[in-house]
Amino acid sequence: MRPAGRRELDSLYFDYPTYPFRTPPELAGESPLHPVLIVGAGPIGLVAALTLARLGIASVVLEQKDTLNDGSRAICVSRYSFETLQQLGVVDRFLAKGLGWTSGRCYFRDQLIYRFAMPNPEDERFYPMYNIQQQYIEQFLVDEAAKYPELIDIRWQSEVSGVVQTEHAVELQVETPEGSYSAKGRYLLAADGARSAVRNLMDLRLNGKNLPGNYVIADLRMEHDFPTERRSFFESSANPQATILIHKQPDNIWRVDWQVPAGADLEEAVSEATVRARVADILTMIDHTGSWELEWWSIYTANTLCLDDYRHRRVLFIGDAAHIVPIFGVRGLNNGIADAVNAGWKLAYQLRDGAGHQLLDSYTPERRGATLDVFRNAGKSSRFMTPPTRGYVLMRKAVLELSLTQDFVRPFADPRQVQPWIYDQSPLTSPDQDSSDFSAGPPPGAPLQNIRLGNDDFLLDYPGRGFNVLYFAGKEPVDAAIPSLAEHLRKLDPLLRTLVIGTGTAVDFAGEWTLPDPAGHLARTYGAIPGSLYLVRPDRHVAGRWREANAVATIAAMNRALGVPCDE
Amino acid sequence: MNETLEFADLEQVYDLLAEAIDQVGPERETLLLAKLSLLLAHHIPDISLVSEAIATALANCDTAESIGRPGPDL
Repeated sequence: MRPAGRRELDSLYFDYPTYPFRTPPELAGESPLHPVLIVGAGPIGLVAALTLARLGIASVVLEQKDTLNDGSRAICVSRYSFETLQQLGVVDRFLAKGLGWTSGRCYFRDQLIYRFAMPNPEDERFYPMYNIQQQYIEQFLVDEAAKYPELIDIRWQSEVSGVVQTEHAVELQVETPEGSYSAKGRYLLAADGARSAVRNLMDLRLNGKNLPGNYVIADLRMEHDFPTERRSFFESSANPQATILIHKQPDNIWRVDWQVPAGADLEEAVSEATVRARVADILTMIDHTGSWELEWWSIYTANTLCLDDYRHRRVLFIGDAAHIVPIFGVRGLNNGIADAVNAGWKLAYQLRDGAGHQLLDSYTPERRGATLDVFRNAGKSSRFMTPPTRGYVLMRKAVLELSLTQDFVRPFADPRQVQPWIYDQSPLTSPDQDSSDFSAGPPPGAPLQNIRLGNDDFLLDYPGRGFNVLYFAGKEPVDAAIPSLAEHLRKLDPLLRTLVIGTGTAVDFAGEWTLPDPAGHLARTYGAIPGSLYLVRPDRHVAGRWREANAVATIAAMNRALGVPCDE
Repeated sequence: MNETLEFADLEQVYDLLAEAIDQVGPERETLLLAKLSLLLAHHIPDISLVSEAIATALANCDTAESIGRPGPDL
């Protein structure tokens, strides 16, 4: 919603582009079979399109609107998502625009009761979290997609009105300003959000819980001197009955969320007069005396809802189309990006015919596992932010009052921010052969951990687009078996890149990359000795690792990571 | 006491207590919590720790009242 007198896209700071409708080949009598159709040009659909394009797979993105999302929705992007954006080659604009942050403060009755700090070690290139408005996220991704004119075809003003699956394809009915047509694809990614048309057309239902409590979310513009931190307020002087959250965004925009009291009239709660009065009280509480302008507001509830299966044959659901999670802990966008990458690389390998039938089967267990973990964590946060019953109201009050003097209860106020999910139970992951093999380093299923190699020089600057091998040479020359292993793996994945990590003058072999690790910091952090090897999936998650490189085991793990059943 | 409960366990206790309070209903929740306090105190062999805890709980209640801004529903 916008203040009276301003239209839907009349932003104080963002100029909404209008994307034209272009006549697709289907309306000129052709009927191409596209490798992948994507419904929804939000951040999740666009990350999927870019992931596919980086792996050489063409996609058609169908979007109902002719512009980017109106208003500001997601604002917090995690380090793990930034590492993904770096991999997609688009991170520079996000870094230039986003506001990095590491910490937050919780207040009870206007007294500071808890400060949390997210780990931000020297080895990281990115902050644990960045705030940036969703329309910038979409803008940067749309601009990046334009660099792949042969591989990404975004079709604006194209609404999906029908979905049919045949044995070899998915057919969409698409409504446009120039009439309707049928679009055919080998696979479909449904990235059309919480009210997914694809989901409804396929008659699928989200299951789970609608949590009690309504929140109003408002963006305002003001000159306000406070660092980029998450601030939360319980029983504040501004509104003793409401939990309040404040976040800083680029362009002097501030996000304020407050809880609507139970039983309140929701229509009244989102009226401009009420929103202005609430904001004024909150600004008084935080000692803001200057002027402010209201940009946009909305209302939301917290839900833990998801599909029972994220894949229905040739249709894969990604982002909010598959699951709706509570906002506390910033998991909606970040998990959606991880869904898009997971589905994207698997589809790309499936379409190249190098993959086994278990590859696409692994999408649901890996990503639904992440959703269920989100529900556990966000459920806890939500019960604290919005106690659902008298029992929870009483317990929260007890904890908050004790927290004025007692340290041990203060972590209850922690927002439990998103952590990358580990695919250790995945059918694609090869576990460590012996639990004592590695005393450190990312375990099988975990994402690569960044390492500072030098000034503006990090481990995650080096992986290629496909699978990667990290081979630790130490001071020794590269073992003679490694080039032939790399050769063999490259037959399974032509995009494979081998990164040789050496403390001395490791001997190169043709076409591979050498990373100097003179102090041995990378090797130590990865628990590696000369001869250790990590096999890494295209999404940076470890498929398997060996204290002493073993060609047979590595090839078996590679097959397993490509969904080829191991015949033992 | 040198040993304390892990925070993850404390989180579980929080949920268990909230659910127990909901189960007995508002009229008997005070009795439930009084009984629970006696049961837990029984496992603490040093009365000074128990009386210190009672004082801490009381002190926080005083703080709350002096601010005079009660929260929702309570």
